[in-house]
Amino acid sequence: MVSLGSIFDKSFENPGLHLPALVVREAQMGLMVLDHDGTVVLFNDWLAKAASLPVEYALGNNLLQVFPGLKGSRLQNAVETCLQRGFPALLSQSLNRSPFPLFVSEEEHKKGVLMEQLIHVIPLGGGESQRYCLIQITNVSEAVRREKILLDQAKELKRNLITDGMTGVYSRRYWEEKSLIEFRKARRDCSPVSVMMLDVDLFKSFNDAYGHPEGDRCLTRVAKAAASALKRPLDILARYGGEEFVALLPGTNLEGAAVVAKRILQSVENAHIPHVKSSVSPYVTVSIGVSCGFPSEGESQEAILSEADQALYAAKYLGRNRIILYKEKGFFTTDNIKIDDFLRDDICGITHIV
Amino acid sequence: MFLLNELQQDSLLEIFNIGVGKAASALSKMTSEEILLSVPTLQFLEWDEAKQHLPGNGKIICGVSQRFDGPFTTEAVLMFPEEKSLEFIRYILRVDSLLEQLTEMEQEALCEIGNIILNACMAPIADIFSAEFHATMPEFRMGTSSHVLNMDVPQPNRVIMLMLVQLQMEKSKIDGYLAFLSVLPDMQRFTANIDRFISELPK
Repeated sequence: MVSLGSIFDKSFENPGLHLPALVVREAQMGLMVLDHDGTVVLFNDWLAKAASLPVEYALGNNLLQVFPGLKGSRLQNAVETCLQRGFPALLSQSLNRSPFPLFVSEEEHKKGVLMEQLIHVIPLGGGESQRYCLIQITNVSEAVRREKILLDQAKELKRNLITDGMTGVYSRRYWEEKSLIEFRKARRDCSPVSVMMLDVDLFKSFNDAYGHPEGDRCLTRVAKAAASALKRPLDILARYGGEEFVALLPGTNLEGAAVVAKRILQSVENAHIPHVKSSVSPYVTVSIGVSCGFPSEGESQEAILSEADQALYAAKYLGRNRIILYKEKGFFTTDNIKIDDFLRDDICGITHIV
Repeated sequence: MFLLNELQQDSLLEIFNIGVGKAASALSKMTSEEILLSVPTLQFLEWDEAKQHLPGNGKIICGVSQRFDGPFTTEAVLMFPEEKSLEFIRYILRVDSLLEQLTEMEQEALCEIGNIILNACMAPIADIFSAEFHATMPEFRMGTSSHVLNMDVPQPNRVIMLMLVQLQMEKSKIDGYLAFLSVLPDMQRFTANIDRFISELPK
């Protein structure tokens, strides 16, 4: 049997062996060699320390005697394939957490935190009877930790892209991405898409009366109340900017969208956020403009959004805390009462000025 | 152009098919999903034309490659289109797809899977050839398929044996290839081994 111990002793007599023996002993990774029977013939100091086993204990014993936990493991299988066939193997940390009971430090050992390992199983020499198997163990705990930080940050970044940091509803960017997809789908399926623009009534006065921090809290509560009124998973409410929100309701006609808009109006009012400066209600209210179109008939996303925006201005102009629908190039209340053309010109005039 | 006779060609495909079967079951164990591996296709090509027969259409491919040296030398590669390699490894590791590139740990995991599949595939082939293959450590490669298959340095006037197996995961809609590319220096020895396999088949 060749053991590192004996190589090391002899290496003093043979200078050619001395350096390789030193390298093996001092290497900052685990090195272990098994002979063709699976007996440990080399076990370096790094490994002895990480395994809290004296080198002498390992040498001359079978791998499974030294590490009984490896029985039936993928590592045992890889070692057998290596010895029998001469095929190498790699055991990644992701698929085999910590095959060997190794610890980075005494402290980690006490805490029971195993070292994350990357293992190479390498055949040495040819022919089944004289083949050896080198097991090389690298500590990748630090790399695993770095990667976890990276992934956590990526998750956070993605979350921030999708949601509006302050109110918790979807971000405008996500809305734009999603509405592109939904409009494409609606064009294909010949289905309608409804768009809703929402604006918090007299929000500037609210900020003046209660201050900006309270204004932020108000927007968050309004967003929450409005979002809770959307029941279907495909419906999306996003913050469009400032105190303005936008909703996308795929596969919904104008009547259906009007029902949802009423629910939102009610939900916000029911939140009972006091607004002493409001001329409309003692509580915070919203105005909503709704439009619906068939992308398959050539109606563009921009056009439908702009119609909803005009309807929102109409709702504001007509006294706020209400819903106005845009249809047939005119404005309608939810009770299907048409806003007369004279008023319509006024509203359009205002939207243009704004 | 050199060609094996029909019987030799069928036998060679059969030899690889045994290996492919082992690879499929090794992969199914890891994914607990049924993996469909196609029957291998075999082509003998000149070096220059071989490049045109590689899968991937010039797109970026991620692959795990091992070189096996024995009665013949083959560059064995498990390869996926880049975006599919992300899906594949994240499907196996059951993690979310967040980053647009494989992380170091994911590359290593892909190497391990490639290693298991390629070893499983080559083991029965070594048995049939009653020979030993010296194999290199699995290596992660990314680039065009000719880069992944280690064909960057031209070897004109050499005959290439290209064996392709298509790999499909039914549920997760992930597909890739197993490719074996051999530069054949010693056809006589190669065909002698196949003939021996044929002669040993039960009549």
